[in-house]
Amino acid sequence: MRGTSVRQEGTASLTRIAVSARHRPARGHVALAAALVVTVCIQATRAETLRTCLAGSMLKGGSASSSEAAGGAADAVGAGMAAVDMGTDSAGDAGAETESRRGGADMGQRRAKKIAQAFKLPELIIKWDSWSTSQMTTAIAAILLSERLGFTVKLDSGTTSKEMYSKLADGTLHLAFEAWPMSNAQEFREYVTTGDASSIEHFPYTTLFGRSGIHEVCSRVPGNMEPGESRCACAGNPTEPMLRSLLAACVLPCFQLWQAGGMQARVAWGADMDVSCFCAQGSAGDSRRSGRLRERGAKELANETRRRIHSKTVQNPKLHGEGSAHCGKGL
Amino acid sequence: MKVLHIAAKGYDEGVIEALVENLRIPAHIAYIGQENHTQAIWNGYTEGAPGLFYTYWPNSNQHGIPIPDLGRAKIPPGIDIKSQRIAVLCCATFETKI
Repeated sequence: MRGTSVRQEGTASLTRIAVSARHRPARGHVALAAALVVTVCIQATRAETLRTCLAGSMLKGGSASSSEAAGGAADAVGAGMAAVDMGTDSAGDAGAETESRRGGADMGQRRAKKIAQAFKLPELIIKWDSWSTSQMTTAIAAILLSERLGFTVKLDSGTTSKEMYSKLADGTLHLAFEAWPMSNAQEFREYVTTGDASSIEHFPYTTLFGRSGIHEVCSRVPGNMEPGESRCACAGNPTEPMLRSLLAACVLPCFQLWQAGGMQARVAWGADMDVSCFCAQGSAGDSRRSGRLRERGAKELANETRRRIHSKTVQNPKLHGEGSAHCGKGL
Repeated sequence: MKVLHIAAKGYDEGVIEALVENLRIPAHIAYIGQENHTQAIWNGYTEGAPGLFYTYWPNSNQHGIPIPDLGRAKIPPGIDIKSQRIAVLCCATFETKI
C-alpha cells in the first residue's frame, strides 16, 4: 500500500507520502519516507519540475514560500524522525500536529535538532548501475539522502541486476533506483511479487517506462533489391552536420532521378525528424524545400552518396510514371 | 550474423539470448563492452551499414545519436521484449536496523 501514494502524479503526491509516512508506527519508515521523497523528486526531474520539488521540499525545508505540497514532504521526514525520538506511540500525534500547522519552518528546525540528539542515521548502501541514466538518478538520490537527510551513503558498483534482488532481500543492499522488473523476471517474481512480502519494497515510477531489445543500426528498405543487396533507410535530424551522410543516403534515389531526367526532388521533414524524399516528374512538389536542399550543398551530397551507397531506386507502383523513395522510421 | 551486446552480465541477463533462440535465426551474441558497442552503433549509423545490436530506452545518446532514431528490429510481438515500468526497490529489512 505504501506504493499507492507514490503513484500519484507530480509534487502533489509528496503530501500523501508525508501523511502516510508520519502515520506509520514502524520506526524504519523514516528511511522509506526519505527514499520516497527522493524518488518523487527524481521523477519530477523527468517532468522538469525539479526546481519546484526540491526547492519546496528539500532545499528550503518546508518553507511556506514554496509549494505547500512539496513542503509537506520535508515535514514528512521531519515528522517521521521526530516520532523516532518520541517513541512509536507518539507517531500519530506528531502527524496530527504537523497537519495543523502545514509547513512551519521553525518546527522543522526543532525536529532536526531532535534527530541529531536521538540517533545517528545508519549507512545506506545504494546500487550503482553501469548505465548512465541510472547513474544520474542514483547520483541525485545519493546527494539528497546524504546532504539533506543526513544518511551516510555508500554506492555499490559490484552488484549485477540479477544479484541485486538477493542482496536487497538479505539487507546487504538497501536501495536500487532503476530496477527493470522484466529484465530479471524470475528474481523479481521470487523476491518481490510472490516472495516474502517484507523482503523488498517495490515502488514503481508513475510515468517511467523502459524497453530493451534488438535494434537495427539502419533499417532495411523493402523494394526490388538484388539478392543480398541491402540499403538502409535513415532517420535523424538532417540539419545536424554529423548526420549529413544520412541525408545523402536518404535522398540518393531522388538525386539520381533528378540529375538524369529533370525530375524534381521533394524532401519533407516529419514532425519527429523523419526524412521523406519523393521524386515526381513534372510535379510542383515542395520546391521550396528541394531548393533549400540544393543550396545546402547538393553536389557535395551527391558525391558523398555515390561513394557510400550502392542501391537501386525503390519504385513505388502506386505512382504512375514517377519514381519514389521514402526513408524513415518503420520502413 | 552477430547481435552486438554490451556484456553478458548486468544488462537483461539471458533475455536477448533467449530471444535469439526463440527467433531461430543463425545469430550469436557478441559481447563487446560499452565503449565498443557505442562505437559500433556510430559506425553502422554513419556508414549506413546494416547491423543488429542490443540497446534499451531510456538511454543516453550514443555519440549523439538518440536511441529512438535507431529502428527496432521487427520481431513478432509475441516473443519480443515488452515495455516495462521501471521501479525503485528498497530493502524492507533495513527498517529493523534503525
